[in-house]
Amino acid sequence: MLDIRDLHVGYGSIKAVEGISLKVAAGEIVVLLGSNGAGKSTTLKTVSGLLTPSRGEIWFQDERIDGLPPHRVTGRHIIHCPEGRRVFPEMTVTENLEMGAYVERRRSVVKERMALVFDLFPRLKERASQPAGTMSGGEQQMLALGRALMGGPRLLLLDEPSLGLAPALVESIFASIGDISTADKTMGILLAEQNAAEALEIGDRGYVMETGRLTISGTAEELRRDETVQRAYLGAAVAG
Amino acid sequence: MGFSLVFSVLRIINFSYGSIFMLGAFVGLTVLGLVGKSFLAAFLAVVVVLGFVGVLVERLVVRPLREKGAPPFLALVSTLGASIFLQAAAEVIWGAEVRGYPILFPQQFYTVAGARISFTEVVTLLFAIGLMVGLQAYVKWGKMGKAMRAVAQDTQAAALMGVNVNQVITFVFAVGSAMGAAGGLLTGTYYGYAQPAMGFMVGLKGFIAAIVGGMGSVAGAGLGGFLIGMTEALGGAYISFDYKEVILFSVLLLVLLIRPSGILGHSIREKV
Amino acid sequence: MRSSTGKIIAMALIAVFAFSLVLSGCAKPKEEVILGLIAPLTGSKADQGRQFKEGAEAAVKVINEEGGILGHPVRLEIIDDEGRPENAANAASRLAAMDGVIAVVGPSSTASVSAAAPILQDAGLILWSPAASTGSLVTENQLVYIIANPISVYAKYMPAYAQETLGATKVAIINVSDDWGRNVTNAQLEILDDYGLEAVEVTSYTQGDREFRSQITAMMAENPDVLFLNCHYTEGALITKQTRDLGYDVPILVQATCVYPQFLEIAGEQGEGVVSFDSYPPSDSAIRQEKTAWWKETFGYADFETYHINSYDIVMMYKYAFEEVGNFDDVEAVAEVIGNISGFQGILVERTHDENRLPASDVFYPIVVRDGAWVSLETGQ
Repeated sequence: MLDIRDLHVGYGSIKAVEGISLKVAAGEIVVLLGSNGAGKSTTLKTVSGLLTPSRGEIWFQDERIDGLPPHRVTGRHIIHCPEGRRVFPEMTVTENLEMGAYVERRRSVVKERMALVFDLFPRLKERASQPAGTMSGGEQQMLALGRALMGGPRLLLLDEPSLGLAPALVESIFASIGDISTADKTMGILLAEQNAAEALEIGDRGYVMETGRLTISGTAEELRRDETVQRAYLGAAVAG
Repeated sequence: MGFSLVFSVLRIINFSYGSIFMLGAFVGLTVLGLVGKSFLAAFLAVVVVLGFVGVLVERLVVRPLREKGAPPFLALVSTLGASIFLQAAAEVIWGAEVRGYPILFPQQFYTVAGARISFTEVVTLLFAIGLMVGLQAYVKWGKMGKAMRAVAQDTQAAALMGVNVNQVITFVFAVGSAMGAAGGLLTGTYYGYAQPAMGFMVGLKGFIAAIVGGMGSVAGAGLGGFLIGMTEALGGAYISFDYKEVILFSVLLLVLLIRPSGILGHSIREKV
Repeated sequence: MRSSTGKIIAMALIAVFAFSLVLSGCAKPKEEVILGLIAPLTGSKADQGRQFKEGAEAAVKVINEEGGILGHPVRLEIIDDEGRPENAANAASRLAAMDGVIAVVGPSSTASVSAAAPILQDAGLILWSPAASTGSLVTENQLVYIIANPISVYAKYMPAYAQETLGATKVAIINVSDDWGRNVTNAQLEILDDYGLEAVEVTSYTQGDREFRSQITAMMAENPDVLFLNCHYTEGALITKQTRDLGYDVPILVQATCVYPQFLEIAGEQGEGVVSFDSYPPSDSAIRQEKTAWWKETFGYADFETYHINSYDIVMMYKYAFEEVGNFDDVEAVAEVIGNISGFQGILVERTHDENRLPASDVFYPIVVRDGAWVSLETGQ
């Protein structure tokens, strides 16, 4: 469903992404591995329209979407859950979730989705009327995910959902992402992560990104076994 | 309040409100001359016309800067320029002198707890409160109001929710200007005059109200406005009317020294 | 190069010589004398300046038709000072340096007169302002005169009217906090006792203020029988309007500074019944209408306002004084004649100076706003 072809993105004279091509199919979780500054966030931001590519094309369900403003991209149900959670701190949990469904006009659909989100993260229901800024990092990440789901995503772009979370929480967040994918097999997920071990656990396929280029690609299994990946991202001296 | 609304969403100080306020008084006066003494007709005309002028100010003076990524304080300068332009235009159209307002409401008076209150006062006060409460409620519960708050708190995240940020900002200018212009009409009705220069002090006082009340808080701006009025009236009555402006600005300094973020404000987060 | 330059200079000299021959040939009867006029022809007081100019021109026309002053034809040298003191000083210097100037009419305000007076005094020229009304200008400068009634004269109008016509005992006064406003208020406060009045509240505002409800409420809390507004027309109109808006129908008296069309426009219906005072018979009086008709017949336009009258009379009194003395050189004698003027028949009223060389007059004409116009108030009505 998502097809990125020879994408180049730059900030002024600095080139952040230099000619990457990747695909995400419906029902798939595709992991984009890479260290800080490799160009993962830039790639996601370009897909969601926050950045405009200098060269290359982005296709979604046989439509070209590069250069569209963000609200038009969101209107196509490509939902970007940004790095650092970025919940609206002075709004309540409920209001944040309502913002997630901003483009959805049907009130019944919004209600349904909110019920689903509360099922997935019961914690959010308990805190429904609490300002988001006063919650813990893990709760905020749940809210960010829930808010993304409120948009009824066909393609979900997740940027570093594990960032700054305790290991136990990381595990539960990834489990939730796995559940989301299992629940809706028509949805594609592009997951940008540094935490390769957890990400490859739930991912179907993956790419490794280094200084704006894709260097390795393959199934999750293949990547887990790749020596370079093991050394650089799994931190393992000995293969398991 | 318009000040606070735009500041809260864009983190820019829009100085054109003083002139929009003044134009509200004049457009109201002109409409009253054309259609007779109908306050509602004047109100509707003022809100529509000046809402549109607010959109023009945003399109021509604010958006180009924003799109080029200019620092927000530049918008302060460019809106000040727009303000001066609008005031000069008003002087060309209506002349620089004071113009009197017709009597719109029956000259009736009531005594409430020993104080005399006129019908005009009651109407203008209720109208002002109605507008304030309405705006506050809309920002709290309305869909566009929520979008405004979202843009204010995190512009990028709001865009990712599908909010058309440009549209929201245009809307904020339209609503803020319409409110300011309605304020001009109410002032014209209440004090009985319109004058091109009337906007300048009002613009400055609106700015002070927003600072005193807490930048970005609509309720705070209302409170700030109330406090300014009280400071002027009481300072004038107990000290000297010649010094009411001196007293007012002294209070502003005091508030800023004690509570830099205003009475109802919280410190302004720097956005990343 | 050199020879052609020399030629040009020579030709210019011949031209100048020939021209001066022509000039002296023309001025055969008697040499022309010049009256300087410093007036705010442009700027915010342009209307006043226009009246200065028209009034002086009318008088000069009449004088020249009757043979001039001491047989000399009179010419006006008009200089625009835009109502600004620094320009008035410049204008004074230009007139001081000019040959044939015998006296000066203008400038307009107290500040402009203060700026021009020392320069003209050094040049031995008398200055007579058609608009300034500050008495100290005259008492402190030997060669300065004013024609408008000084504050000491018109400060009596309101108290006299309040006592005689309204039977009031308690007054509240609001004034603009500039020199004029304070001086008028202080002059009134000094004489209130003589009229059996008591000031229950005195308050002020800054020029440019537009919102007076607090001051009005403070004044009305003292239950005055009458309000004195020592204001300019914009603020006077707004105070009137806001007082009525607050539901007070207390009588309001305003200074002549409010007798402008703008006052009526701003105050609207709420201006009805406001009383002011004119030192001249108002425009609807028989004598004023008769003189206006004469003015129109003689000069071709019906505009016959305060400063037309003032300028006209100043020029006429200059003629009288110079002819009494019999020459243009003895400035001190001329100044003395002017200082002692008594019962001089001006165009509309008689002119008399008191022992301080200031206009003296106890006559004033109450006027009232009725149906959106200033009209004579018949006392007792």
